[in-house]
Amino acid sequence: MINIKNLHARIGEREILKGFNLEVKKGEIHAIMGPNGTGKSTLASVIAGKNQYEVTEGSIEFDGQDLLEMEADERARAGVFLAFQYPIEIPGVSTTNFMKAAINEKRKSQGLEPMPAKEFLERMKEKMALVEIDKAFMSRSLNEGFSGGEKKRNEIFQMAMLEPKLAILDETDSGLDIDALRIVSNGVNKLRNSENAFIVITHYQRLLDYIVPDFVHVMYDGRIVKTGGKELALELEEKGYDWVKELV
Amino acid sequence: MTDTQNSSSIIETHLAKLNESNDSVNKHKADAITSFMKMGFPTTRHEEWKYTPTLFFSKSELDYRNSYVVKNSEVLEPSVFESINKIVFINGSISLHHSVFTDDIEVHHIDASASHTLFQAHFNTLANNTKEPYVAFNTSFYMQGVFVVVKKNSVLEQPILIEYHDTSEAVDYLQQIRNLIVFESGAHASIIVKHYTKDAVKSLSNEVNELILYPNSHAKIYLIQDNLHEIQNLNTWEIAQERDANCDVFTYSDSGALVRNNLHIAMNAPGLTCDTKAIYLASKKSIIDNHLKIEHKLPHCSSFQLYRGVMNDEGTGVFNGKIHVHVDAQKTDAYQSNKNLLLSKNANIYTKPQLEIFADDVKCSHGAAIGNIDENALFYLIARGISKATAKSMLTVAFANEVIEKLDNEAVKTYVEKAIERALDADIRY
Repeated sequence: MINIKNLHARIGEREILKGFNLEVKKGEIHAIMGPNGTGKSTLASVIAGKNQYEVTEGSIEFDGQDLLEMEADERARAGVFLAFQYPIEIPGVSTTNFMKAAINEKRKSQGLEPMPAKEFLERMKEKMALVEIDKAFMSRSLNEGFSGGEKKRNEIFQMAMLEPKLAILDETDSGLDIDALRIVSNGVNKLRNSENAFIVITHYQRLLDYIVPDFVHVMYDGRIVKTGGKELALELEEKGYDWVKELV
Repeated sequence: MTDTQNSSSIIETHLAKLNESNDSVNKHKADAITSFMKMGFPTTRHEEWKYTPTLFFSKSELDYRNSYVVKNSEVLEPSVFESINKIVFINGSISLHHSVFTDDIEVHHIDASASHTLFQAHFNTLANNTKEPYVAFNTSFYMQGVFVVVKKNSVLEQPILIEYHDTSEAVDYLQQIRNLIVFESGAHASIIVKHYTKDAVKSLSNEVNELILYPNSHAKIYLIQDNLHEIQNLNTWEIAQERDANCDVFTYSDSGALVRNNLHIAMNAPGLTCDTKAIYLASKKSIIDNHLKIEHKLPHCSSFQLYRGVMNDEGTGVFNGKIHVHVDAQKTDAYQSNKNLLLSKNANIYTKPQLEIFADDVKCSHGAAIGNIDENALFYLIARGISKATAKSMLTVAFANEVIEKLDNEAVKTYVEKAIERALDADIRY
């Protein structure tokens, strides 16, 4: 699905990713853990195509394509989805219109007509139920005045609507109470299948009780320093991140 | 002989003729000419016209008369709004054949109104001939126009349409329209003013409207200034609100070589409200200038100004919003908000809130802002597969939505939403 090799990226003069390697196959869930400031969110932004980061070395192959050659919108249409750590509030654009535009731009790029209204509404209804969002949210301005939990649920809702091949969840669990965490995880678990993959970035082992990863990677200073199974998360929880620093 | 000398001699001849007559309208015209001659056409050295260079005629002979003769067979662009009251001008001349109206209103040619008592009472009473050069110029030389009375207690379900069809391909021609509109007591109506312009038209259209709102009347004015192409449109509305009268004005401008809107509302009784809103989109080399002045004369009045501007390409926007609170206007509640979005490096916006407050117990809030599209918001949309161009359009429409969602006329709302998409060349598949 995605193969990241020796990725180096910087913002301004500061190098953040320093030789990052990761391969994710179809059907897999990978968790990336690590202390603050090690480059986890930078990794997510670089994959999604945020252009304030400069990739100086390395490659990302996604589904046989050179991802780094693609614009952010092309990446999204090709099946990359980033659930934002801090979803943006956009007054004046409703969630419904946002999703309609996103789905139809993708269809346009595939040479398809816009999705028929009935089909769109049915999909909306189904996915709203999945993340337990009330339909009143759909006509409201995107994320405006939403609580932290509502914003994160909206991210999972968008993911469900767009059915990406690869979804990156950037600290989707931070700031969630236990109910929201359950709803978000439940959404992810229902969406996972043998054809898609997830990269779950988190600080806390707690999320991985709900979303069970196939691999856990520990990231430090811009690259992966340790990889293991789900039990690695428990070990980290117990020993803390200082233990990781000693591994370097 | 230079152009200026030539036009001054035309003006002097005209003035001499007017002075020979005893007619009261001619007296107004003669006075206006005298003050116009003192002021002359404004240049950018004039504070109120600093960013708005009205480009005047290159012709050596100014033609102040309207020579256009309407043909009944003329086929016009269909109206975009529905109504049973419609006043149609073609190239500055009224066409009764193309107009239609019901018994709820009276419509007269402005030159055939002098005997009407309401006309005598109100004509040229609001126009500021001593300070506004183009108003004085209009009073001196207006060519055509209508005198409209919305009759006592009439409640019009459908709007009154005033349509200006510009079909002439003449370059440098002048249109001067003068309208007087009176809402009698208890009259409720909307007025939608719109130009229908062929793209080859290059004219200067100087429109002056006086609107008198008798007690308990309610006027909603919608000025739709789209498809103006290369027209220079100077558009003045002088409005007087009497006791319990309500007034809402919405202006949408997205085209024209130059648009200057002068809106002046005098709140002449206590406890009144007036509501002004606008969306302006200046693209290519357009200049769109909104000058407004709200006068709080007596206590407990509230006024509302919500202006949103988008400047693209080499477009220029001007906002000059004055709130004048007179000494007796205690407990005034005035709100002004002007926000502007710059979409290009070569676009300009000049915004100037002006508060003149002479009473001491008032609430006046104002805010002006200029910004670009928020990069984080843009990335959020793009990261969902929306192209950059569409994402920009969506955010721009969203910016204008703050005004659109407050419009209470569904037909205008729908029309303006579409017009914005057209103006931004946006392909938003909602």
